[in-house]
Amino acid sequence: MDRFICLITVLTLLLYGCGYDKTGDWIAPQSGILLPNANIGTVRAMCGDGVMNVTDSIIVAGYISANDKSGNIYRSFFIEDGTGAMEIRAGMYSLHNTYIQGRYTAVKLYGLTVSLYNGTLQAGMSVNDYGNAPGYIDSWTVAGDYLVPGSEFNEVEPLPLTVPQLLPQYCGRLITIPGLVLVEDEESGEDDGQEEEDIAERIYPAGDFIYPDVTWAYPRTENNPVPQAAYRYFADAQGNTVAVYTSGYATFAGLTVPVGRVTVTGILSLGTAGYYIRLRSAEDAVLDIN
Amino acid sequence: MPLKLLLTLPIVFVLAGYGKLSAQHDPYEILFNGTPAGEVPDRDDLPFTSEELFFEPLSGDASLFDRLMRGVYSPVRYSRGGTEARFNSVTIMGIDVSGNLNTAADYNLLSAAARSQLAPLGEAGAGSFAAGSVPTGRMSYEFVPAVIRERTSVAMFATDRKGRLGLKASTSGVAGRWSYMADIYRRWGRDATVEGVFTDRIAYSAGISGSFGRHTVAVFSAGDRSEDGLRSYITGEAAGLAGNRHYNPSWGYYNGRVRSGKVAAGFVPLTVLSYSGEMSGQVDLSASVAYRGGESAVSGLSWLDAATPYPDYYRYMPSYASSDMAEEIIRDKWAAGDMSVRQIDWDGMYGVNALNSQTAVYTLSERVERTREKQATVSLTVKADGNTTVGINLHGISDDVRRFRRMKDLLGGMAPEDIDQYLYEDEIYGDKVMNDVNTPYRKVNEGDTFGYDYDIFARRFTGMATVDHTSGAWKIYAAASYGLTTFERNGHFEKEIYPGALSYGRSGRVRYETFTGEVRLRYAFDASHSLSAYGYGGTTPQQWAVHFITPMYSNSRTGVSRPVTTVLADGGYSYRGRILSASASFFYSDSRNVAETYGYWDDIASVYSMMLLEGVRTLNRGIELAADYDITPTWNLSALFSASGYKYAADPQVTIFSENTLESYVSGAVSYLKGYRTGISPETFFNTRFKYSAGGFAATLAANYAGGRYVSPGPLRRMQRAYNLASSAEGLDGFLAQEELGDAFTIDLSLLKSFSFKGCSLSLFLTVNNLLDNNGIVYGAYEQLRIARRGSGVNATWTPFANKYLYGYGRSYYFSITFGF
Repeated sequence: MDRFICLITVLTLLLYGCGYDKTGDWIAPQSGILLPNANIGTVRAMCGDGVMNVTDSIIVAGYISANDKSGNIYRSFFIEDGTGAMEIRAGMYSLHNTYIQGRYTAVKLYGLTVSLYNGTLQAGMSVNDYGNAPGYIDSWTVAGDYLVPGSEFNEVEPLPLTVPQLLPQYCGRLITIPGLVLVEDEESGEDDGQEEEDIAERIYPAGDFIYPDVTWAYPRTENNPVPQAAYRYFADAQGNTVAVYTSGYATFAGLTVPVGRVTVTGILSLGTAGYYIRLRSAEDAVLDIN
Repeated sequence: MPLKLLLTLPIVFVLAGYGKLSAQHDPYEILFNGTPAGEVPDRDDLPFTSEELFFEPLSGDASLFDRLMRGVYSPVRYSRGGTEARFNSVTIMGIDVSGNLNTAADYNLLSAAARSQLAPLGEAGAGSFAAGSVPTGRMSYEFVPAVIRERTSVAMFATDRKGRLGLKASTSGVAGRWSYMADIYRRWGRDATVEGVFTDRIAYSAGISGSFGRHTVAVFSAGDRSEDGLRSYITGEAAGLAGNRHYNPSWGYYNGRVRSGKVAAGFVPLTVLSYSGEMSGQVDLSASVAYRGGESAVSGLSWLDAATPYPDYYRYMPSYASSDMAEEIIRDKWAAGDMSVRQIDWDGMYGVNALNSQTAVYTLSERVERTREKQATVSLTVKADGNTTVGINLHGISDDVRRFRRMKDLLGGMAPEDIDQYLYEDEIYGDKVMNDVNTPYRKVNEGDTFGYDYDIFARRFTGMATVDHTSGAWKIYAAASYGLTTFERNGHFEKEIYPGALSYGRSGRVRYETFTGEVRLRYAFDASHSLSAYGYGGTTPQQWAVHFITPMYSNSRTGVSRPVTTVLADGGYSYRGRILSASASFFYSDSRNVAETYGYWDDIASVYSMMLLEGVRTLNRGIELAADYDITPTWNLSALFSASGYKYAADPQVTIFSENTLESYVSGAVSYLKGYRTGISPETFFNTRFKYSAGGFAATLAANYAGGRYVSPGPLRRMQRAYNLASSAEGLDGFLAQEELGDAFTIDLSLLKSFSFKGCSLSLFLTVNNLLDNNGIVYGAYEQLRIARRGSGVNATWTPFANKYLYGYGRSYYFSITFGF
């Protein structure tokens, strides 16, 4: 009997559980937002030729206008604060889950490099392999020291422009241009040598628009193992043209360009052949209502 | 009674209270082992508790080396004879619990059985020894009423390893024709050395046996409900950054508490019903039936189109930084102890999930195995004459294991769709992401099955005939067996990328017929001297997993069909004297045509792949020496030594399949493994023990040495398609060289004091392992299958990923109090 009493006593104690793997509801840590002490336009004005190391404690902030979610923007995201735009050359992948479109993000520029690269203000770390632009930060660990996302959200309104209004100061910004029509099925920026007036006649004939199925780019398929980027040229009613660049890795690369007049929204960039726009998603090209 | 209770309870309450404090201890005050292979076993995982060994006489037919080896606490990964665990044979009352058929061995169950009053019996012969040995060695646990002692005991123990505190209560006895045994074991606590490692375990065993004349019926059940926080192998770089070889990347702070991202939990109890009886004076019959059922799971983090949450991911390391500045920043953060960088960032993951209104980006899920196993065995032995016994055994196993993934914790996020996270952004197959087309885009909530869901039906039937003959000084044992084994997969999900029967329904059976033969001889010159020899040849089925290209998702077969062929021999000399015992033996084993599979990301082809090796051949050879000397009735000196070689003896054929297409994109290739060490066990091992025992007190000082240790080689690096990527002689060496691990030397001290009073006993036991606190011992290591590319085009350089290590413990202790009455 003694033994059994002792055993029962011990057994009762053994029922005590420890709960090492038990978790309660998550308690979000306190967080605020880091306020800027300069605006992006000011930083842009500081840039001259080449890459500049930032040696002052400059903090800029803005809302994210575009990120890598669709794969058309690669390893970077853009912020705008109303005075300008800045491309953050983060370098990591799957940025969009942290650097969410519309999210307030502050950037501590001290120790980073900035430059105006083809009109776009860029911030990164060190310099790229060619020495002419900031390199990628390339590390979540390091990025945490410089990039401070906040808890506020605000969708960036695209700046409405026309093709003739495109200027280098708008590079990196989210812009929107209505009334564009796909001009030709071109690859890699080659044009067919037609004069502008011919293009205008061809674009706005009296009859229906008839176009072949044109995709934004050439994604990888079983028959096409290497994705290929593409430029698609659009023209306004006056025949002014602007290109839309799409990476072959973009999720919408294989989707068809809308037939008809479209409003194109995206990040403006400047290349050797002129201005081009990078869409954030297929929804950035919508048919005009009129 | 009151005195006994008073003696028991305060100790129990104090230690239980300490355990509670320990569980909630401030993590910073705690000073600085996917899957059992990733764990360094501690003393309580051994089949025999150290204090028992003080009193257990050397007896039975197990070799001297075997018996001495049972008391050794190896500081490094050790596999007797260099043979992998899947070749072990362990039975409980005739029921096979080796886990060689459909699941890995349940070491918790084996420990529960070993702690019970079941009698451990090794088979006769030079090759017989405890679990962890070449196929010649078989360990069986039997319910032997004759050895059941009338005893009740309560034990409490404390250690700094994993489960810090423990309680065990056991009772056994005889009441008329009935013998009974029962014990319950509780262990809990966080490891004092490796953060994130914990155990919370309750195990039981119980049995009752009734003797009815010449017939005995017994029922026995054992089980272990456990929850263990695990640790992971780490690179040398991560250990250096953390400044701690016991750095464990598998945990992080959650609401201020340590939370592990890798937890193993399970409860798969076994129940055996057995009968044995004398049918006549010459014929004995025994039979057992058993059922083992339950669930085990290992949790891990998952993420969809997001940064990996594991802090030691290679891209997060300074060695991968793209600039000196970035490298310096990363090093500084590790040095400063930034826990969001060094450990899992639970806040970061919850924060990302909170911002995503569509789906949880990060989740915690479990890989579950649900076991339903039935076994039956019947043995008939006939004493043909006074010296010869003939036996027949029939054994059947039906082992169904259902494997699936289960959502454990959404980490505050929205239920995701059940889609293949690896195909999500695939340029070609990104439109075939559904894991189950029968429930398209189903939302997965906590507790739901997702990802994969399939059964493996394994059946084995074995018939064995044995002859045991004793003639004068000779003892001869011979056995031959025939086995029939089948495997079949049954998919419950129809995966979109593998439509129809490619993933859903039955795969068709894989079938093996296997044969074994063995002979064991012993010649006793006299009561002290004997020679023994053992030979074995036979075939065994391949592991079930090698028959399927992607067993989690698809019924598609690899085409493997030939069984493993094993030839082994051992033999030796044994001397057992009054004060001196010694033995010398050799062993040889040659396993051919082993098939292995590895699922991995192939950096060269940029494809999720499955690598199939066929024709793996391992050759294990060595000698073992043991001696045990009673210097005086109170002083004893023992030593054991082994020198061996464990090598790959052939270059296996390699086929690499794309997991997307199930087609091979590499075939007819070779991995030049021949001549490499398998790294499974140290090639030189030495242990010596100096023991004093008198008047209820015993002390043992032991020294252990392990040398000739190597990192287990990976097959990919020894393929031409890999090592041809090297751009220099040094780079080539990086692919081909096999790292040798440093020698390990430890000293252990054990003390035991027992008291007897008024029919009760009290034992105090203390052991300190690795007295010299040698923290640099690598317990085990392996080569990764990844190859890193830096740069692009003609400037690209390729280097294999760094090896991964699991470091052994420094000085650790184990203390127990056992009160028996």
